[in-house]
Amino acid sequence: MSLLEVQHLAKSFGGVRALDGVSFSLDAGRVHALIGPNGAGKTTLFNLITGMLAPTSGRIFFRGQEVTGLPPEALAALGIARTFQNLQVFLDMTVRENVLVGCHLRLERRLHACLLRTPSLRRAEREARERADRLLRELGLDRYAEARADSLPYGALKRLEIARALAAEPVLLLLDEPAAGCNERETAEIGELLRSVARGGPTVLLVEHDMRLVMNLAEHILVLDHGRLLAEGPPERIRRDPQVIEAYLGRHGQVTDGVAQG
Amino acid sequence: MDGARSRLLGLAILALVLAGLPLTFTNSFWYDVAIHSGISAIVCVGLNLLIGYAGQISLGHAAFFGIGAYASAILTGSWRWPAELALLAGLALSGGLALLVARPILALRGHYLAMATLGLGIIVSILLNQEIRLTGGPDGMPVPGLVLFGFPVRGPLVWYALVAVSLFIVTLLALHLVDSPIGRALRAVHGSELAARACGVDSTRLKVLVFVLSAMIASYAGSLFAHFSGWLTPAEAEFMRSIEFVTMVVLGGMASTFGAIVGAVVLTALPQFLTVFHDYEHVVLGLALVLGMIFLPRGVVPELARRLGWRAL
Repeated sequence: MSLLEVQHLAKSFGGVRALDGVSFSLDAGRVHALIGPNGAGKTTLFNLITGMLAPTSGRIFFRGQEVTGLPPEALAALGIARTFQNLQVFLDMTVRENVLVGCHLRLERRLHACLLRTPSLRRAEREARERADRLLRELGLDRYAEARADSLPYGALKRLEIARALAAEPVLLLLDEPAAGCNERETAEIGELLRSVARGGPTVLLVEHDMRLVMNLAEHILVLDHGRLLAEGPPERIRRDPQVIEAYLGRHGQVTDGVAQG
Repeated sequence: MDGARSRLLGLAILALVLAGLPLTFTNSFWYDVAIHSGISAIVCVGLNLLIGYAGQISLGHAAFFGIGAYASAILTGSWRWPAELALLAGLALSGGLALLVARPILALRGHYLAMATLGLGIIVSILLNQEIRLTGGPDGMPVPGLVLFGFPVRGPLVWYALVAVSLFIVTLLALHLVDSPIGRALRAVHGSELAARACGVDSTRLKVLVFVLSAMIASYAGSLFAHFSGWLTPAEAEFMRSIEFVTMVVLGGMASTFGAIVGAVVLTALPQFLTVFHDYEHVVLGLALVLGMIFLPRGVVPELARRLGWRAL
């Protein structure tokens, strides 16, 4: 059974059809990538899957259960975590606290426990803190643990978003352009990072413009264009698909390992 | 300094100040001022959780204060209930009413809670003035003395001790909450509501929770106030009282528990010592807020802490 199944999903903003009847399914345990030109509807699709937007029509199933129209916090509780293309870090909190918010659903958060600081709360907090620190070490953020997030450089904030999403121990992890705005070295680092993330656990759906990163990481690629699913399949096939090449590069070109070579 | 240590230090200082303060009191007037300040401070510590952390404003907290006060007055006076039970009934009534108002309102984005609580405050105030048979109307009603677990609370020192211990406990609970998953989640909602919800934070539920809690704390303070004064009028539940509470929190420093206490003490004690200004009390209040916003925009305590390089609590 597929982990996520999307059926005839459509979303209109006023008269604009951002997403126009998209259907696909994602197998568990693999790295999937979602690519397409700007404005193809990638972020809209992310926002629909994570409940930030409600679809105009169509249905979404997660682990066989219909989740269409559920709010973000309910989907998070089912095991879907995400990062944001434009950073959504909690800037006035420390780096460790950011990650702890990622653990929110696993923490003791009943009112009486929080007011009285019961032993069960202290234990849960101590464990969460250890888990957060372990994640920060893995993502090379441990030296920032006590720093306020707004004092971090851009590349570190990108990794912090990933750490926060991983803290939830998600079943499905949606990454919206994790390498956007990063230089070549940072992009390579994020590639390495994502490879180890994917080895360990969640099914990944990745939106990314850096084709080298996508071709290296993804086992299955979905191509979106003008709100429609243009093609899907393994990287080797997508790379040679004439429709994909045309959508990306016009008639003469090939999707190579580089970002865009016409 | 990490959260637990600065919390302990703050609480230790509060305990010392509360315990040492009576040594400086030369007559019962000082006790009177201190007890009234403490009661306002209890309300403000709760209200600060709502304003400073849940990012919502209540313009009707005097109504919850009034509900607690009148529940104690009516139930112990006319109905002969024990004071503890009357106090609990006030808490239940305030909490229930807060839940009823907040559930539909807080699901909406924006400052609709301010409007809803404004309306609630006015309704409660009108009811207290009109239900003369129950409340005595604008002239007020007598309230029996407080007897807690068979022990009569009498005399300024005993009252001071009760209010001080209450304030200490409420402060302790508030600091715990702020440094708990709920407090972190609320601060996260403040930073990015979308990201917080994507982490599984049910922001609506948390805001409702904090509003209900702050209403119950106000109700508790109201019950204490009623028994302490011995005579209760609807003026205590009026709109201007709600505004005073908000002013205290903002002046002391939003998102600072000790700031709420400082704001409450300053704005309760100041008019007592500046009796010359009695007729202009609200002018002084307004002026304090305006000057505070200009010179200490973050509030007294956070601004001082920042200048001294401390972590504000």
